Amino acid sequence: MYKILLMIALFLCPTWAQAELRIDVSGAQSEPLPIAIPYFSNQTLNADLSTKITDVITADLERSGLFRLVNRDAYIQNLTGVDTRPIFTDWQAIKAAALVQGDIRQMPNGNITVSFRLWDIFNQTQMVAKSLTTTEDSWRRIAHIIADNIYERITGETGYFDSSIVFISESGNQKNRVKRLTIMDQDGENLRYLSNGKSMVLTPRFSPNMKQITYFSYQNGKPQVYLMDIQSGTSELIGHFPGMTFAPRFSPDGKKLIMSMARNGNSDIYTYDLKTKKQTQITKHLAIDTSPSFSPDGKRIVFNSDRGGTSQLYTMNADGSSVQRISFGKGTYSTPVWSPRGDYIAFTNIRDGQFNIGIMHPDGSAERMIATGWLVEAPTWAPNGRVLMFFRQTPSDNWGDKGTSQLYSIDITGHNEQLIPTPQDASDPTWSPLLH
Amino acid sequence: MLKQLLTVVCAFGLLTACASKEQGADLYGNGKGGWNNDVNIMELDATGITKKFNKETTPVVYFAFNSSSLDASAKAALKEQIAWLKANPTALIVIEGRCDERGTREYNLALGERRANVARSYMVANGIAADRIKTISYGKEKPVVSGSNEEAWAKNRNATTVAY
Repeated sequence: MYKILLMIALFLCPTWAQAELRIDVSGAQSEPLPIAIPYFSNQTLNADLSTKITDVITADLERSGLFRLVNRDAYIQNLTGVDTRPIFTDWQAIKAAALVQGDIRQMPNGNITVSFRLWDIFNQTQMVAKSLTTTEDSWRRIAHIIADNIYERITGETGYFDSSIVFISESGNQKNRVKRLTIMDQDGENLRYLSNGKSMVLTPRFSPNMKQITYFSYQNGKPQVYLMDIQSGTSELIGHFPGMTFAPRFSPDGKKLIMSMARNGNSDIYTYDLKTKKQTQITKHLAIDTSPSFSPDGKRIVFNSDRGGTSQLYTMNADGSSVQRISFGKGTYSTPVWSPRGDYIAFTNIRDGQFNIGIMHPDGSAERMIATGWLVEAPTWAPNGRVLMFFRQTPSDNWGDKGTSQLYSIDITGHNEQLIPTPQDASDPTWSPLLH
Repeated sequence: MLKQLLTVVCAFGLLTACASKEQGADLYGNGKGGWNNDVNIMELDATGITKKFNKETTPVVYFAFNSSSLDASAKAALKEQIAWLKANPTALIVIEGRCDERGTREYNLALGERRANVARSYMVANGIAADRIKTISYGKEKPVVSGSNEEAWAKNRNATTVAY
């Protein structure tokens, strides 16, 4: 897991304590930062709200692998509100490096306001102080935004807790899987089904503004790419392509889709302009060219192609020029996805009968496998480009049962693999941008 | 079979408004379209033509791992299918391309399409009119044989011809 430079040392060597509380997420695994998060004081009519909000903040931070909650039974000072001054020696005594205090108030219109402060216990300084207001039923978002604020202030990285996942829920026998478009918060809560499972759907991807999902479906009998408006639930067929369209993704500006079209046994990459409805052919090769993904600046595209004999990763300019192979390791490479930070490309690698999730720089250097399994596939980036989600399958028995498919997240360091709980089997996750 | 199946699906589709709107039924299912009324759609049995074709030819050809090349037994099976199609000139076919589960989803959709089209091209080169043949790829999504072992994978790497 991410390396935590400072704080443990801070306890042991008080003379270092002028350095600000900070976690360095770029290095190797280290001990998580001890953080105290007493239950926020609650002045609303909803007695559960404090437990619910404080627990979500705590769970987000702990799941990141960077933080460890200091046991609440050990707390000495009883903080009665967000404006109670911490007695720092009380928190130092229980070895908390950071403290979060907060309160929840009800507004006259029924909305709730959550105020919180993040303290550096050893420097006795305030690191963040904010108040957030929303409708009571949006309390989860407030909790995730607070967790993002804490994560951001201490790591210097963008957070990723206030975000959603769109994925495929799977159920039933291997030969007759029911697959449904599903959306949920990144922690598995707030799950909603967007399709009823009567037609097979695959590979859903969010638009950058989170209003739409592009996906692949056999609805209407023909395998094609569709665009769904999340709010209304209506979907439309994309383009007038003479063959199967598949593997869709949005361009970073949200104006275009990029996808493959297969015709007469040949798959090439196309873009589709959502406004002008113009389709443009980007690759023209007898090989299978698919799984395209734009760089965050929209200038380059990474994709996989078997033009060299086996499936490998290539980059090219947005117009299809300047094609460069970037994967040269053992086995085959596919499903490349460009990090939102631009610094890495995540992919699926198949070698020696095992599947791996790996990352490499866009020039192909610094390749590293970070997760492995009988079948792991389809990496997707957290909004901060420091965590990946993917799905892992286990083999089916000879009756097509018992096989499982589940979502996992992992840091790009290869540490802190976490199962994302879903009510049914799950596959093809796509992580949304940060919502706030 | 496909045509009839589609007819049935479309007929039900009319009852429930428009088929493309089935997305989102659970979330937004309270509208006028009657989305809360379950329609039980059953697949029809293979038609007489499908059964006859399956009885009189070898309807499935198999491929090696990650390959779309026709070996001798695949060509022999396709030759039987071609002869049958020549003897039954009104029959139409759909060739379904499939892959084993040991590849990624998107790549396998492309590979399944390529396998179906290799079979199609072989038929067209041997005198079957191109407009009698449709293709569809199921990638690794609709295996015909259960199991996660070599035996099952070998059977799931196929191009299956369905006559109707």
